[in-house]
Order: sequence, then C-alpha cells, then structure tokens
Amino acid sequence: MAKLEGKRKMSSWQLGLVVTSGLLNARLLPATSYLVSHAQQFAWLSSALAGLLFYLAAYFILRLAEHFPEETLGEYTSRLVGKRLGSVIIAFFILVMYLNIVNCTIAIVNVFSLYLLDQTPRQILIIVLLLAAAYCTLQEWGVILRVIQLLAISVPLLFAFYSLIFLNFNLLNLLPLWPDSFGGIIRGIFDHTDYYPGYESILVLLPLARRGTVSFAKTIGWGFFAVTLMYVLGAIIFIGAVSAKTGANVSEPVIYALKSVELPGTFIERLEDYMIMFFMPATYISMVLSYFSIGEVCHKWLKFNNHQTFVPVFLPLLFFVCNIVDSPEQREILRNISMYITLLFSFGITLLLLLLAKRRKGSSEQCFIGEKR
Amino acid sequence: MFYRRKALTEMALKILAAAMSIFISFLTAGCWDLKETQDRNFVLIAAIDDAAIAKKSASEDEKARIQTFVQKYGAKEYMLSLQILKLAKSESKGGGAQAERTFVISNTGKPLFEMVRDMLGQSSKSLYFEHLAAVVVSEAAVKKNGLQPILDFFRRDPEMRWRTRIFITPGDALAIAKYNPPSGEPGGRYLEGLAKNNKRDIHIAGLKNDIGYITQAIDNGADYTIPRLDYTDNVPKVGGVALFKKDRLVGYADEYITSGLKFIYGTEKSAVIPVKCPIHPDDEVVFELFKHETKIVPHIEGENIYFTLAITMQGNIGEFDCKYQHNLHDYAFLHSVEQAIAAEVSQNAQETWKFEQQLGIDTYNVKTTLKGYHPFEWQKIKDRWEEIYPSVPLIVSVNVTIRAVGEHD
Repeated sequence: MAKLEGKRKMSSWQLGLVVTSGLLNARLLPATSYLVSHAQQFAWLSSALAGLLFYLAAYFILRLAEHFPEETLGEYTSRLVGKRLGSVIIAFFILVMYLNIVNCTIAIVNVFSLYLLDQTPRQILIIVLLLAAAYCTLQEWGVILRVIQLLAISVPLLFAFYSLIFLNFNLLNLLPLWPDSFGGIIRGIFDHTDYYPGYESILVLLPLARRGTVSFAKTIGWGFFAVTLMYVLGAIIFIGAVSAKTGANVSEPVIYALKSVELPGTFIERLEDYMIMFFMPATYISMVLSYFSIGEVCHKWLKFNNHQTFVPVFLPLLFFVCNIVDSPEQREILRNISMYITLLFSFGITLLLLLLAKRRKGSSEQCFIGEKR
Repeated sequence: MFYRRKALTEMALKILAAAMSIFISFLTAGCWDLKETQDRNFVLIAAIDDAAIAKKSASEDEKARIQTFVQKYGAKEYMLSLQILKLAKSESKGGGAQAERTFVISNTGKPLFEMVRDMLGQSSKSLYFEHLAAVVVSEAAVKKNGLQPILDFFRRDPEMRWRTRIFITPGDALAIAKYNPPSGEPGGRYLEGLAKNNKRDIHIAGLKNDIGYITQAIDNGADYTIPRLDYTDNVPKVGGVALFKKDRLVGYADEYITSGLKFIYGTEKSAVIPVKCPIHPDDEVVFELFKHETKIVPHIEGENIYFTLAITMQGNIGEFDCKYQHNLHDYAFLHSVEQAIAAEVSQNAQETWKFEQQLGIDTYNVKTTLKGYHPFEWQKIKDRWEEIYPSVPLIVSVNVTIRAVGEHD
C-alpha cells in the first residue's frame, strides 16, 4: 500500500489539476441566475472573458508565489509589508478561503435540502458536510492529494451529464448575436467569482509542487482553459435550452434545465438527482482545498508543527456562519461580500504584493527577500 | 521531549479523527427522508375547475361544504381535483383489468397549495406530485384569472416535473379526472399517452406545450398553444388547441389549423396528409410523412417585412383511394402527387398564418425570430409591431419527396 502520508510534493500537472478541479462546484448553481439576469443570452461571452480575467489573476498569484518558491504566503508577507500589515493580508487570505468554504457549504446544502433531503434538518446537513471536509483536511497532504485526484473524475462526468440539456436546445434562444447593452456582459464577468473560487490557494500550494519540465503557468493555464471551455459550452447549451429570461427567473437554473430533460427511449428519470450527486464531490474538493489552505497558511504563519491543528479551530466558526445565513437576502449579502473581498484580494492585494516583491527583489536572480537567517 | 509532544499531538489528532468518523456515522446512519412507496399517494392528474361546478345540486352542495375549508385569505374560486393512484389491487365490481385503478379527491378555494394541504384531511398519506402526468384546466377556470395563477403552484414547487402535460377542456376537468380508461391503465398515464401521440397524429398539438415550455413562453412574453381535451359521456378526445395570448385564452383552433401550426413549427414526425388525386379530384391519395424540416426566416427590404418558410418533407404513399388504377411507378404521375401534397401543405400553412394574424397572436414567436435576425431594425419597429404583424406576409415553399409507394401496389 502506498505511503501517502510521506508524500509532501506533487508534480506541476498535479498542481494544475488540484487548483482547477476545485473551481467547478455548487457555488455556480445559484450564481447562474445572477449571471444570466445580467448577461442575458451572452452569458457564454461573459464566461469566456471571465476565464481570461481569472486566469490573469491566477497568473499574477503564481508570479508572486514563484518569487518565494519554498515559502507560503504566511511566511513572506510580513517581510514584504511589515508584521502588522502582513498579518492583515494573511487574515484577508484566510477570509477568502473561509468564505469559499461557507459559500460551497450553503450552496450544496440548499440544493440537497430542496431536491433530495427535504426532511433532514439543515443543520445536520451542514455539520455532516463540514465534518467530512474537516476529516479529509486532517490528513497529510499526500492523502488529501490522492482524494482530490480521485474525486476530480466527477468534474468531467458532471459536465457530460449536464450536456444532456442539449436535447432541448433551440438556437433562437441565443439570438440576437448583438447585445442590447454591453454593461450586462461586463457585470456578468464579475458574477463569475462563484465560478472561479479558490485558485488563491496557489499561494499555499506552490511550495508543495516540484518544478518539472512544464511550467506551473502552463499546467494551471490548461486547467483554466478546460474549465472555461466547459463554462462557455455550458452557457451556450443552457441558454439554448431554457432561454435567458427563464434562466434568470429560477433559483437553481442548472437543476431546472436538467429537470426538463427526458431521455427518449429510457426509463431513467429525475436526471437532476444524479447531477446533484456529481456536484457533491466537486464541491468537496473545493472545500477541502480551501480548508487545507487555511490550515497550511496558519501553520507557517504562526509557526506550528502542522496544518491539522487549525482544522478544528475553524470548524465551529464555519458551522455558525453557514447556519445563520439562511434567507435569500442573507445569501445575497454573503455572496456580494464574498465577491468584493475575492476581487479585492485577487486584483488588489496580490498585485500590490507582486509589485513590492519585484521592487525589493531588484536585479537579484535569487528569489529571496528579507534578512537571511 | 519534542518527539514526545509530537507523538502526543499525532495521537490526539488520530483520536479526534476517529471521534469525528463515529459522530458522522451517528448522524448519517438513519434516513430522515425515508418514506416508503406505500406511504405516499401518487397524484396522476390535477384537474382545475371553476368552483361553481361544485354546487350543481343540493346534495353536491353539502358535499362541497365538506370538501373545502374556512379561509382567512383567498377566495372560493377554483375546484381542484386530484386523481390518485390506488397502489393496492382494487376488489371492486368487475375486478381484473376493468377495476378502477384510481380515485379522486376534490377541494375548493384559492390558492392551490393551501387546497392541496387541506386535502390531507381526505387523504391518509401524503400527496406526492413527482409522478404527476397531466394538468387539466377547464375553460371556465382559465377565464377567471388567466393561466398564471393556476400554473404558479406547478412551477414553484420543486416536486413538480417540467415535462408534465397540460390540457385545456371546454367542459369540466373533474369529469376527466374521474375517467377510468377501458384499457385499465390509470387515467393520468392514459392522458400522457394521448399527448405523446402528437408525433403520429397531426391533430394533436404536441412537443412544445408542456409546463416547461409554457413557462418559457410566459417568461419571454410569447404567445402559446395548449392541447384541447374534450370529454363527453365517457369519451375523451384530444384534438385542436387552445390559443393563449400572454396569460389570456383567446380562443380555440380546430384540427386543420393545428396541423398548419405543426407544419410551420416543424414538429410533425409522422403525419398523415390526404390530398386529392391529381387526375380524379373526387378521390384521395394519403401521404405518410416521416421526415419533416422547416426553416422560417424573416426578411426586411426597405419598409417591407416578410417571412419565408421552407418546408422539406419526405414520406411514403400510405393509401391510394382512387377508384381508378394508377401506375405509381410512373414517375411523372408520382411527381404530380408530390406537387399536390406540397400545394396542400403550403395552403394549410398560409391559412394558419392568416388565422393567427386575424386573432393578433403569434404562437410561432416570429417577433423573436425577427429580433434575432435583424436586431437593429427590430429596435426601430418594436413599438409598432402589434400594428405591423397582421399584414406581414408569409411566403411558403414546400419540397415533398415520395420515398416509397407502399408494400403492395
């Protein structure tokens, strides 16, 4: 039996897989109605542009992380901006990851309680899901990596299942090909923060990756390309099948679209239940990855022995927030807060740190900044 | 000392992990949502009538008093009747296949969800809608407040399916819910089967008029059709359509217009089209369609707006009723039959187009097609579209190919 606990390092392709397999998760289920209400039948265009934008953000994060190949954000930030500001930035990073776990939990629990387990108390669903994520995060990185690799199979399966919506495709729903307003398409790009969550974990994961012949930018880029392609094709199929107006009117548009599919000549019913089941592992990956990132950054920042110590610490706080956010208004507020915080971190703080790292690095080829120990 | 502390930490983590797995097992071992099949009442038909039908006689008046509830809000506007599947074998008169497979419970009021919950006073098991096969709405009920308030419950509840069939009946929907087909199958499944026959019966509207498609039409501000279901003396019949403009029932279209609609939509899969014999007009040739494609394209030339409809059909000679012997292997004759079929289909499509224009409804959603193909021109005319639409011409071209003439000539 493989000793997964001992394996701390992963290849650059594994890094690409880990970072991008966590992107597609249940957060996109409620977010699709926002996207479609803003971008209308041009949701596919917003998805394509968002893919570029968020890859750009991931690329900047990667560039920053590559300045400190053996360190996580928890170690070098204070050297870049000072101890106090460094702590604030690390707290910000933890908040981004924390909000991803909360949003993932709320999204998947809502779908489960609406379509599959309507009698089970919501709190039970939340605690079970969080405990399951915490249990995986308590393992060593080698075990977590293997779990993510296994569960990542659900992502292409999920998309294959989703593609059945094409059976109801009507080209007229995608017309006209010229938008009434471009503002909606731009707004739709930012709605994609729910479609590209958690890539900030690169800041923690990079020291765990081995440099191979293929660059990290390439492996993560291919992952982003695959996910963006799924989103673009998915948006075309979705709008073609249910129309933008209807998509904007339903709370879980993707589930709605699959509910409308009847497979001719088969006895298979309730296809959406299968899709919800496929969303579970995909969402779990994202939760575990974000949870691990929190533990790992705290471990390095506060100089503890391992990341596991911090897993139980955050559990009650996660449960508390997931539990209290229970109305559409609260969910929308949380969603907006998450969107602004994530965008601020990705396009503000990270860029600032990157500029500082570049400036302080100067002409030295050595990626070490600060006092030598 | 350090190694001892590390070992202790690892031990503590292992204990924590073990405790977590035990805790998770406790929470997930039972199924909170378990409900056996026999503990559910499967609703197959939801029939909605005007509440007035519940009080046709004195005895029914008393029955109606029981089949309702005191309402603080809402009104006694609708009568909702649910056809429920009997899971246990019926031991009633007749037995065997003819035995009743379903029973009906009713309630009056508004809104529908409250009525459904009040019906639990008549049903020992929970009412389960995931296998709902058909919604039958009476004309009188639709005319009260439009279709939207009736459909809302079926669109909002996640238990509902989007491919559920819907029918409009000029008579009482309750009578249809009570109907037991002679085949012994449950009434809901029977109605679903009738609706599915739209592929083979040109008179049955089909495909794009279930709850899902009607929801899309309403969301997009489009007009739509719903199959018409007549019922008299234990004889149900689906044929023709009810025409809706937004939420309002505008009228009915007969079987001829229904076939025209299907020719234009391109939804017909296996129609039977009778035409006059090209040489002896008193007799008929029947064309059996098996491949059908249509393309409707808007054109704007200056101030002129028109649509072209290209129809391609392939099929067989299904029946040749002519008293006189014709050689169907004479290709010139066969070509004249193709032309006759094309002319018939073209005329049917043209008359259907004009019929809709006269009523001011647009169930083909040509305005969306026009907007899709010519978005800039649409911006200029969208406010005047209601005036323009009745005079927009349709130019039809039909291409018919007879692939075979049948087994025996």
